[in-house]
Amino acid sequence: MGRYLARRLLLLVPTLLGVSVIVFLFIHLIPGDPATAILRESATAEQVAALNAKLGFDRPLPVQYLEYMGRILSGDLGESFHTRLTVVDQLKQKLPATFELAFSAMVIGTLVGVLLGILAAIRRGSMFDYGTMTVALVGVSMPIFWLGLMLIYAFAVNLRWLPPSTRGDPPELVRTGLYTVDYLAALDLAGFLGALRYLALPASVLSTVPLAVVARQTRSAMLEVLGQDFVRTARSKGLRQKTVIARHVLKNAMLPVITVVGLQTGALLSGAVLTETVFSWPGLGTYVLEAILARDYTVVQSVVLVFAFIFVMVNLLVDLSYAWLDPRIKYA
Amino acid sequence: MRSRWQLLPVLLVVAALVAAACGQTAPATPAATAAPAAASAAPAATAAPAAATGGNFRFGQSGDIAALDPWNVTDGNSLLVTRQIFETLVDYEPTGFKIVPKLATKWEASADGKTWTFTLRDGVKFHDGTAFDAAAVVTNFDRAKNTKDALRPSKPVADDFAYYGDMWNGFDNDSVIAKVEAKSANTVVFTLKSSFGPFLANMAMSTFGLISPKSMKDDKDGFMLPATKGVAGTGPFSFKPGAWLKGQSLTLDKNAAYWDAGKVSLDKVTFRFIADTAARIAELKAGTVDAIRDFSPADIPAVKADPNLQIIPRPAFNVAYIGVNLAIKPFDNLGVRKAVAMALNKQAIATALYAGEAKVASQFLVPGMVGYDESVTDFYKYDEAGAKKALADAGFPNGFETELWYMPVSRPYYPDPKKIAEAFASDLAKVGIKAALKTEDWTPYRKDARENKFGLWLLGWTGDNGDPDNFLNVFFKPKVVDGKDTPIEAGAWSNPQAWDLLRKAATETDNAKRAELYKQVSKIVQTDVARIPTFHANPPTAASKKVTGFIPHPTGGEAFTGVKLAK
Repeated sequence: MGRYLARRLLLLVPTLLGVSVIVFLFIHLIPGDPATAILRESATAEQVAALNAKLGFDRPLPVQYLEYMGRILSGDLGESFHTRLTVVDQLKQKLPATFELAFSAMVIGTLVGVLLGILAAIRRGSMFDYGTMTVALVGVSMPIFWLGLMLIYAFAVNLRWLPPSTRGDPPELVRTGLYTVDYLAALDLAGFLGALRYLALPASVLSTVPLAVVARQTRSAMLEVLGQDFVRTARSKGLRQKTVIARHVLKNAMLPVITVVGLQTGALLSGAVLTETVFSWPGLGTYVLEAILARDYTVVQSVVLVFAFIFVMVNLLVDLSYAWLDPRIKYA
Repeated sequence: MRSRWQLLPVLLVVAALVAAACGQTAPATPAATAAPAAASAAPAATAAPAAATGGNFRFGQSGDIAALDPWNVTDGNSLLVTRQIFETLVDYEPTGFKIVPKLATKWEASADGKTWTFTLRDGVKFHDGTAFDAAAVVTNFDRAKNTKDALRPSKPVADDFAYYGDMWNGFDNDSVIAKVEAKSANTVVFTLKSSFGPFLANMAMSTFGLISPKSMKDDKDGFMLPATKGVAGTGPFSFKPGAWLKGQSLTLDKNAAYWDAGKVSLDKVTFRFIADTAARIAELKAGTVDAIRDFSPADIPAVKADPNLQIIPRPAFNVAYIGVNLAIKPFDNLGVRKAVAMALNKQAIATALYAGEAKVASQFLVPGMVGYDESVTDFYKYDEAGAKKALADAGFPNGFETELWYMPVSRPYYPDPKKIAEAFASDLAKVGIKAALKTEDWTPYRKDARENKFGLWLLGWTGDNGDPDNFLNVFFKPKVVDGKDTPIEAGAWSNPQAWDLLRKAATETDNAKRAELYKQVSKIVQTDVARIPTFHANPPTAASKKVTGFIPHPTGGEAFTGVKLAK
């Protein structure tokens, strides 16, 4: 296991290197330049060229790339040329924001999805089964933006049960950056509930796709296991349905489900842009989107590297969890 | 056997989706009736606003600010915030461009127009307690003028003093401001290289708001960033460290020591950054913000229909236009350009696509500005037959094919560019000009327009200071290469006579004479069809009925001094 782990971690290096080159090339291929992006409509070609030169964006690409990689290797993720805020500082605020959102969405999606999947599998062929799977299909196909706006209008504007958007007020003492956790840590129940209220709509919206995918995956995994001989044996031994499911079927069915949960989490962390935009949630998604629009090369490159790192680590954890779940799996 | 009931859930979902789709008309924001849990809980009726004091005025804007330094920002969102913290020597009157005192109580120009002397208001203090005096004015202007000034940030921040360079003709020795000196504690003297028509209009621009020299000296690189340890102005509202949550909100507190404190009613102002337009409107309707701006005219009827909301119109101060590129055939042909101008039914578009909040433009200048020519009623009257004839005379009896470019983002002067471009294209098609609609990302769009890649394109301009130079010079000044005048950057138009007039008008300080010169320039622009002005749009503000005293300024930056919030 140790060697396996070491090998996987070593693989991180070429992976991240490859990602950095690809991102660098892509972002520089987009037409337009940083000075044009931030100056006004009336800026002349001279003013644009002058600002680009001042910021160092007129140098040959390999030079810019090497300088950037040099800084990364010394731990400096760079800063926005426009706001002068360092990527590290911004990540300290925005990573927890996205994490809080993505984690909540995954929790909702996984819990509800697994539950629905199990029930659908047990009641296979019933209306519940068809109903759940249809809802899952709709969840995957529904445009997040539209769903988000619909929910805002329903729950915030009309019913006024929940706030329409943004993250709400931060706690006095920011420890982890996760408002819910920090309010709890400060024993501020009102603040905690407030943070939950702001989290409710965006997390629900973001959970629709994972929920759908997890539900379907759980159902099909359960059905496969339920059809196996050892289940028939367990039932004929006289074990109750609940015991059969909980103690024998679930664990075996979980492998593919965990894979899906892992992949979805990775996708959520980097793909929450739509949800973050419609709810003005100040997370990584909006951060990198604004950076792309402003042609803020350094920020885009560094943030995408961080995404890649997170994604690789999440997948590593998923793979490691297989060994825990299935004793037959050993890593050499 | 499969029960047919199993189809039921599918049918229900499909029916719900169809109903939702049909239930929507095509507004910019979804109609509330399509909401799944549609409970039309009627909000409690508001009592008539009682005598209002205090409160937290929550303003929803479309984006975060770039920096807490008015000299280094050019975008509307940043300048609206800095306007509450920092003040200028003089100001515009609340709804127009007449110059009124602010931090200066008197001013005088020398006979040759090259020296301006300002007498400063007594007893004004910055938020950090230091005195506002002539030395502070000198420090502010020097920092911007001199590229090597000791107080300049080590690396460019945000727009890097762009407005100073734009409005004062450049930096260091290029700047038309030769020297700024403190003749006494409350007298400051500006010495110019030559007389300068837009001088006072420029001085009132909020980008030249005065910052406390102590803030600059304490942290010249960081005083304008979110982690700032403090930045002080003289304005009605002050900023405390930690009050700027990047990407979320920025809160200002009432300045109890403000020199005109009697006028200020609010206790706090909170700017909230809500990028998505539909979400911003939802927040206004839900009552979680008190006022917003930057939304589509298509949303205006919904706001007007809401009993708790009001539309506060803003006097128009922008011009939307269609650029024509004389470097691309057949637009080098004057007859063709005239035909394009005559083919457009602008009034119909103004009514249909601006919800009534726009006027057809007869010229580039906005009504009320110095140099506006009342005698000109149309920039080529809408005349389909006339356009066809002009095309035929120019050698295109069957019209021709071309491209019409429009921007992918909403602009205050063209709030719905796609629909407006479609309307223009259909007008052009009626006279035989088949214009294919094209667009691209906003940043390369501006670059390509500037580099003359488009034949016909939509663009526009919001004025900075109410001065005609700011409108006409920006568009029609020549591109100077190696000291020689060459055709203008976007559009390749040249007319030395117009350029002479523009230069004369820039140094002329007598407004009556300037007006005459600018009228002549406008006439040349019209005769040459150098560019086609289309509309002056009024981008409105929407607010809760509890808000009173909110007076939108044409430039888009208004002080919240007199704003009151009813309970």
